[in-house]
Amino acid sequence: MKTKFFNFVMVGFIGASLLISGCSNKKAPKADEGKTGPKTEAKTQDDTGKSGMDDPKKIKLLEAQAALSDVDVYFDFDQSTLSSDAKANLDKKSDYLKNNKDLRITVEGHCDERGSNEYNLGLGERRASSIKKYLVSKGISESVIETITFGEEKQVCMEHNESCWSKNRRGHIAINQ
Amino acid sequence: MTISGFPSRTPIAACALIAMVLLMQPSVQALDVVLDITSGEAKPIDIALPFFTCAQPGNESIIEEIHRIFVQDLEYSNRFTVVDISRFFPTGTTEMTNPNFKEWYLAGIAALITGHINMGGDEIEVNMRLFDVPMGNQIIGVRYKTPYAKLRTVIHKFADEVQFRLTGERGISFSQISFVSNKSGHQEIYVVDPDGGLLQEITANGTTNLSPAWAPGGGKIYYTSYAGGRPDLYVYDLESSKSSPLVKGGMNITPAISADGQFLTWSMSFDGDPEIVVAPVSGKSPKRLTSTPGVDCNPSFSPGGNELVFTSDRSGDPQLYIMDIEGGNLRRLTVTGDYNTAADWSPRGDWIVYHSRREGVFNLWLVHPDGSDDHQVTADAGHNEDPCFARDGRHFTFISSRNGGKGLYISDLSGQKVRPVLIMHGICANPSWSR
Repeated sequence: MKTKFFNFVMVGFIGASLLISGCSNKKAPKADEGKTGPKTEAKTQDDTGKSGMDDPKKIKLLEAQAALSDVDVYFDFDQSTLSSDAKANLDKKSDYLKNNKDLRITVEGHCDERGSNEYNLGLGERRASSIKKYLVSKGISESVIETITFGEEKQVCMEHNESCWSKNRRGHIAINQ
Repeated sequence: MTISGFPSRTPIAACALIAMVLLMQPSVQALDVVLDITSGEAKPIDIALPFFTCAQPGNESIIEEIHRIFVQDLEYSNRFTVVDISRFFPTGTTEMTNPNFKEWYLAGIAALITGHINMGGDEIEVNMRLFDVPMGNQIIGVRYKTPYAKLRTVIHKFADEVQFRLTGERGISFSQISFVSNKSGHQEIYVVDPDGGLLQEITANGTTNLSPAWAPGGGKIYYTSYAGGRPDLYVYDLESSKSSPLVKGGMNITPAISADGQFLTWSMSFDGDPEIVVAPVSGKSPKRLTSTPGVDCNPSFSPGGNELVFTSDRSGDPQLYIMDIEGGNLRRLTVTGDYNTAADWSPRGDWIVYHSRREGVFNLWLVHPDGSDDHQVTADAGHNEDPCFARDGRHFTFISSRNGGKGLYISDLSGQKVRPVLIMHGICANPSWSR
């Protein structure tokens, strides 16, 4: 029991940090040339650490993270169609979303480094859109799902091999706050 | 006759050009040389460029720097052979205003450039003349006053003027290349001269900035930035150093401007599907030109602005297509390979340059707009990507990993005369050459 709780907390922490990094872009300054650097993540993480565990809202968020964000949806090379594995993954996520209708999400489409970075922006858009359309087909309201492409600009794995590339060809779901 | 009509392409140039006057009325008689400026195979003109003279002794390093920049500009045009005439003229303190044309003529020189500099306090006065040796007269003479930091800019301008006077074709030395680099840790946009000089930072917003595209004549750069959280279109004005959002929401990527500066084309998402649109340069009321499922991106205008070449994966993999700006008369351009994208249409209209990934390696290819003579240009030199033509249509800039990393290079159309612009400046991408 203790171990399980510990795991949950750890998942929560990892989820929280993913969430923060996933959303940092949305908080970027509107003014283009403001020379404001990216949000200092360390500070935000401290805030989560202090107040996060007792706050029911935060706990619900961490739970949503664990259900939606921890396991990405993976794509085949140069493809935006969903594999059976990807659909099985999304089926679990759509069940969760059905039971948590207040959640708002952003589906991020990502690509590996091997393509052309500009074409990959388009491919990432198509990947995010594939996921959104599948979730909508499972009964999730279109209005709770935003999409965004990051092309090959946000890699989670930096090595130049298939093991890494396959991790980077992904759809990631971030929870909107 | 003056060269004051020579357009000022950048604020740097505008500042540098404090004074420019004619030293004497130029002759308008052409050189007795026959040039074919369309084949790219014109016989180079033998030109002589003695070291400039300087009114104050002891400035050899500046004289040598001017000579190096000027020779590089002339040779890179592929229009000149700079003849080694070091045995003729030692440097001196007196300006050469009346060359011994017979002596030059007997040495096989068709055109002669002389220059004289006068060091002021913060400025250098640069006098330059171009002579027609067989005719025995001066074609043009100019005087610039420039801060030392902008000295290279006036050399580039005069090198282009020399080329225009002797060949009828405007040179590419006085131009700029914008590109993306991750040197700062973020994808920011930079601008650099094609010889690697005067590197400037354009964006510094700490987010991801991509796909810079020059407005014709320079001065403005259209690009995609995540500064507002999403891939939106922005325009940056070099004179005011300000950027403004142009098209926001959804996905707006890979902008390009028509040669007349009136129209903008880019890829915009419709219900999650990237499609090609065209709009006035304001970006307002874009007109959708494609509607097939799949990625449509990377549009580039034909020189006349009536057609677009673009990437579409409607066939299952990315290929190049051409359509008119109403979205009609669609035809597929590339028929070999399964990953062809990043096309740029030559300002001369004769070629489209693009990159093709085959067996995991990117290389540059050229194809005529009618699909003929599709051929590979680079080979066995790492990845070669993201090509963009210079205004002469005889050179392009591109990204290569040939020396490690991903550097910025320029080349002629053969792919053989490659010159590095910037290497070891982070990972570079998406260069655009001002036209």
